[in-house]
Amino acid sequence: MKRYDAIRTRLARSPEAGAAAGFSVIFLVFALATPDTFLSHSAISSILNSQAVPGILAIGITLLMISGEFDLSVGSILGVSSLAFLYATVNDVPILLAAAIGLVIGCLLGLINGLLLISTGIPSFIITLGTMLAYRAIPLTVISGGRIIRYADYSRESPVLEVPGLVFFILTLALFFLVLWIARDIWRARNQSIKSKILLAAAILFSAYLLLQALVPHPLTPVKIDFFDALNGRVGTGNYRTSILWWIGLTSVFAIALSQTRFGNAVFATGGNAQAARLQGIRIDRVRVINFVISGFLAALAGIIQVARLKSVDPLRGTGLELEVIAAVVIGGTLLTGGYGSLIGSAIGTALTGMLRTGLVLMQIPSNAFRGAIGAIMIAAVVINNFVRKER
Amino acid sequence: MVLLELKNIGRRFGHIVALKGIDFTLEDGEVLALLGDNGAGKSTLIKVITGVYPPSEGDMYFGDEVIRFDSPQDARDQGIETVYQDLALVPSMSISRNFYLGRELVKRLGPFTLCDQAAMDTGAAAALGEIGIHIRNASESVARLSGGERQSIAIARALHFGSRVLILDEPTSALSVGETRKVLSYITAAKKKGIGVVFITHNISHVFEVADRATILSHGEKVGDFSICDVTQDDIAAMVMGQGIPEHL
Ligand SMILES: Nc1ncnc2c1ncn2[C@@H]1O[C@H](COP(=O)(O)OP(=O)(O)O)[C@@H](O)[C@H]1O
Ligand SMILES: [Mg+2]
Repeated sequence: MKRYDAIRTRLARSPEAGAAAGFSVIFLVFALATPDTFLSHSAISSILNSQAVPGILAIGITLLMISGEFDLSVGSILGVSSLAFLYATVNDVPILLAAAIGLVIGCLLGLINGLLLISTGIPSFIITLGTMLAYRAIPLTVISGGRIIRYADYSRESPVLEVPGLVFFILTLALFFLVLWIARDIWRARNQSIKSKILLAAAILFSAYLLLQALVPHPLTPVKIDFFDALNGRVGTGNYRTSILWWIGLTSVFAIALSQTRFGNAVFATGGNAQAARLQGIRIDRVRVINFVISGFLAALAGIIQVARLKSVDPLRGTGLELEVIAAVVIGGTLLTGGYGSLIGSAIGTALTGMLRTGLVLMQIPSNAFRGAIGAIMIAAVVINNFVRKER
Repeated sequence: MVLLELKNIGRRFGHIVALKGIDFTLEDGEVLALLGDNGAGKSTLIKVITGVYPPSEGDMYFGDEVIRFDSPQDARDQGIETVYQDLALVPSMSISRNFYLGRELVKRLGPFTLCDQAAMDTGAAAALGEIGIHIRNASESVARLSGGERQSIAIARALHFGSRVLILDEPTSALSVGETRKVLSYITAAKKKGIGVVFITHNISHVFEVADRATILSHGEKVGDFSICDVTQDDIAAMVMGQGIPEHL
């Protein structure tokens, strides 16, 4: 009994526990129902490929929700930034600059959300409902009459980045020294066991090996990178795409920032008790605005990554995505009321919604049932999370 | 030496006048009791001092300099530490995260700065233990603690970080008799270290136990400043209840 209690408190402390359990159950159900199709690379890759974009959006939504705010405008920001990026690209703007334009626009639209919030004090649900409609008007007016802008219509080659050999050499070396620098600080930290020091040494040797691998075949010759492939191309010969790596990488970076940095602490405090946070010197308005900018940035990045695969933009790109993402974040254990949540949970929640969509199709259940299933699971997740959280 | 001086401070909220024409001084190594009925403006006055509500009018001096705190961070940077009446803990966060909120202990990892959670857990437990508060686990969430435990943590935090001024707004309201005695002893200890203490309470016998002076507010205005040696408990009670300054003073 005691042991059971301990496990339950332990589980209750991690917001993602409920989502992980739900994920496992649903995974098992599909795996048993349609083992041949569901447990195939084609099904799993299609789930992960389709969830990378909502998964990246979910990062910003989670940060905002933990700090007590809502962002309904991410789908529209994604639409605007995708359009700006593709429009610039087909008008001969260099590809990196075009991407930068898309990202800056995403940040600006997020900044507008944040500034509106702190200057008016209106709930962010209302503000971003307004900006969701307003931002959507941009692609709707720019792309007239339901047209679709296609990269192929401009008969361009796939954009290739040519990194000069020396730049590539320096960047690779810099990355290696960054690894060394971090390793040195870990090495010096207190309470390091011999085992962890051996692991650390192994990690350094491995990255040195990677360094040689990268540098030896390119002795100062230019390195060509296909821009679209880097963002969302196939990895190797399988059907898995690089967007999955972006999703995992961004989730990891922000998860560390949220749980290990002073900024992360400020985010939790702002959502947990804004007044108390302010009295302890946290600049809560700044935290909120920064989170809206991050959310806008990530929406833009997700949009560009999506364009890298679809190579087109239509005026309704991203519509409805915000609700699917919010549902996934809530399934992942983040509290709507703020102060509690996890990015790992959101990633699991996003994967779960994707798995549900694909799994239902494979079981030959009409695809419209998907929405009903998501709704039911979200409500069940909240009920279960509420129950478990009482034990915290 | 005068540590903190306020001259002719006023504060309005819309058309509500919460404070009007307040002069206020605090010396180092002194315990000042700030007294008044509910709604007299005590909490508002200390929030003016700590930068939560910048004053609508009047000047503030810290040491010899005119100073203006626009946020609680500014006041904390000067060594002014406060236990607010409404406690100022975040229930969903752990004890140690609350303890170090806004001034986390960090470690460097290459170019990155991360929180040193282990150091904060031991640091918070040690600081709490130092003043006789023993917690099971510093990484436990504050939501699970009782009102008295929460108040103890807020007080411990202020004592730990307050280097020049310590402000306590009704700190003993949720405490047991034993815990209250401890808080009174911390006040005396802080005074011995040369810290200026502002102590808000409704318990007049506590005032006589630890305070050197009393400043009394009524309806947002100052009734007067009195050395504790010059007044009786009845005098203070009469003034707090808004009956004006007794004739013999
Ligand atoms: N943020 C605020 N907005 C409006 N009125 C306030 C605010 N804070 C305090 N007041 C008013 O100022 C007066 C003094 O309140 P307060 O300083 O809390 O009194 P005390 O702490 O002495 O009980 C009260 O009338 C209160 O309603
Ligand atoms: Mg008060």
